[in-house]
Amino acid sequence: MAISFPSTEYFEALKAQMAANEEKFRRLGFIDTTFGVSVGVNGKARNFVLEFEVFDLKNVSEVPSIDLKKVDFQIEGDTRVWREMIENIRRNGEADSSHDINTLAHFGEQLKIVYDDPDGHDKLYRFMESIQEFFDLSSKLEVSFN
Amino acid sequence: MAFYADKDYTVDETVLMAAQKVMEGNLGLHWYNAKTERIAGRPSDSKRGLTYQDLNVGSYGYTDIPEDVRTSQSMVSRGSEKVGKLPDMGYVVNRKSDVWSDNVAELYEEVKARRWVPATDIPWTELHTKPLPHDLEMACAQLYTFLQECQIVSMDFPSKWVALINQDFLELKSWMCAQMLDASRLFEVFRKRALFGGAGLGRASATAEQGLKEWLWADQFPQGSVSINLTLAGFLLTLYRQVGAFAPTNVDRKIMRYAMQDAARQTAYGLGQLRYHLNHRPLEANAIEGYLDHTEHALLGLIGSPELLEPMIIICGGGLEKAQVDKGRIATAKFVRLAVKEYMERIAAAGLTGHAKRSKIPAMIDRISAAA
Repeated sequence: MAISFPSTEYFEALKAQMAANEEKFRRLGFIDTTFGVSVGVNGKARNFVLEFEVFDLKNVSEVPSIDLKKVDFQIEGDTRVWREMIENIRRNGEADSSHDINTLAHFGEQLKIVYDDPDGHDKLYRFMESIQEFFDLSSKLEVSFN
Repeated sequence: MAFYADKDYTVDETVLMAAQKVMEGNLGLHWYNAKTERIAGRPSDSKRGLTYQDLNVGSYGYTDIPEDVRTSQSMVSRGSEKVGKLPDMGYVVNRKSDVWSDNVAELYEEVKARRWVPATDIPWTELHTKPLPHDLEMACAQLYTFLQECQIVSMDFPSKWVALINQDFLELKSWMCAQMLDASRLFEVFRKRALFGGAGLGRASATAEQGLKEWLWADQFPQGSVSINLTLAGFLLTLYRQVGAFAPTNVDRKIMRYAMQDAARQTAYGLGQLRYHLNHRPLEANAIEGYLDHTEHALLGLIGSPELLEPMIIICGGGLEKAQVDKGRIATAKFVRLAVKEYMERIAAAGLTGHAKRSKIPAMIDRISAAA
């Protein structure tokens, strides 16, 4: 059965995939960051907070709004961009060069990185390989978009 | 320059006799009653394993290192009992706020956990099966030549200081050794990438190197750290993200993804160190501002270097045709603005909130990027 995006279930499914691929994430090293994901849907946003620790996604929660002081950074973008990224991952097994998080967010024109403290922002890049591999696990999921 | 131990042990009969006595089974066990704390270090998280943070306990910990380290000048490991004539190592950096950052232990554990290997983690053969057009390969060779110059300085800066810093800051000194390894690995991967492509190396940049040397030879650690660990590393982080976003091959994208991790850790230390320095010694803000006023021009030496800007334009545009160069100029103009914006954000976050207004750099960057 397809998992709806955006939803807590989608991130929980990625969390389960991450646990199932623990050896790969161990090889990439510690990932210690809490960040927000904000998906714009019809002028509103659905917001999620993802808490990573050691090699795992410890917790996922949907929240009314994201307090930038409580996360390292937030990745925000319209559902159209997220959908294109996830479908690209599904097609290729991983994001291609036009659809990885770094490319989509680089100039803030498709995805945007928002942060309170530059030290938090830099954590996106400290853990980039793990974060990208996390989203690339979407290739193993059947995802539907409402 | 040489140091001679207080005696020549080959002619010291007492040392020889003592060793013989022990080997005969007469153990003195004087070390058994060392006046040190008895603790049992345990990992707070079994998955993460035993870390330096777990050992931040009592006299073995780093939290209670005093601001001025006055009583420890030998190579003794912090927390040991000090007896006998321990040599004075001549450390000249003995003040915690000159070097410390609250994320030092975390970064040291992270750098080891997130290690990677250029020889085997980069899919080199993809370059062989899908070679780049000549102009793009030449641009890559030039860019990777430039990046090697930057990494030499990133390697030299911690190397230059580590032996001068008091051994009580052992987590910091370990982190600095890891920084050297990070920089040498980046140097290695950039050199391998350039030489794999067949275009050889490009041309060195005199403007970049003049500025880099000025930063490297800052006469105090906090100043040099701002330049190398915050300004240079932050600039390189933005550059790696840019090349990653416009990467001409999957190999280049992969290299940049690893490089940004290493540069972001260095930046995290640079920001953390400046923040710690200014939090503990707010009166130093003027000195740091003055230093930046004098040395920030080196950032322009990097950004304005044709040996960097031109390959960046070609890589971001995809080639040397006019339309490609036009596209590359626009993307590169965005890159230099982004690099300076993020640099100013980090400086402000560390405590120099008014620096962007007094700095000459933003206006000069506007002039450079407006030409695109």
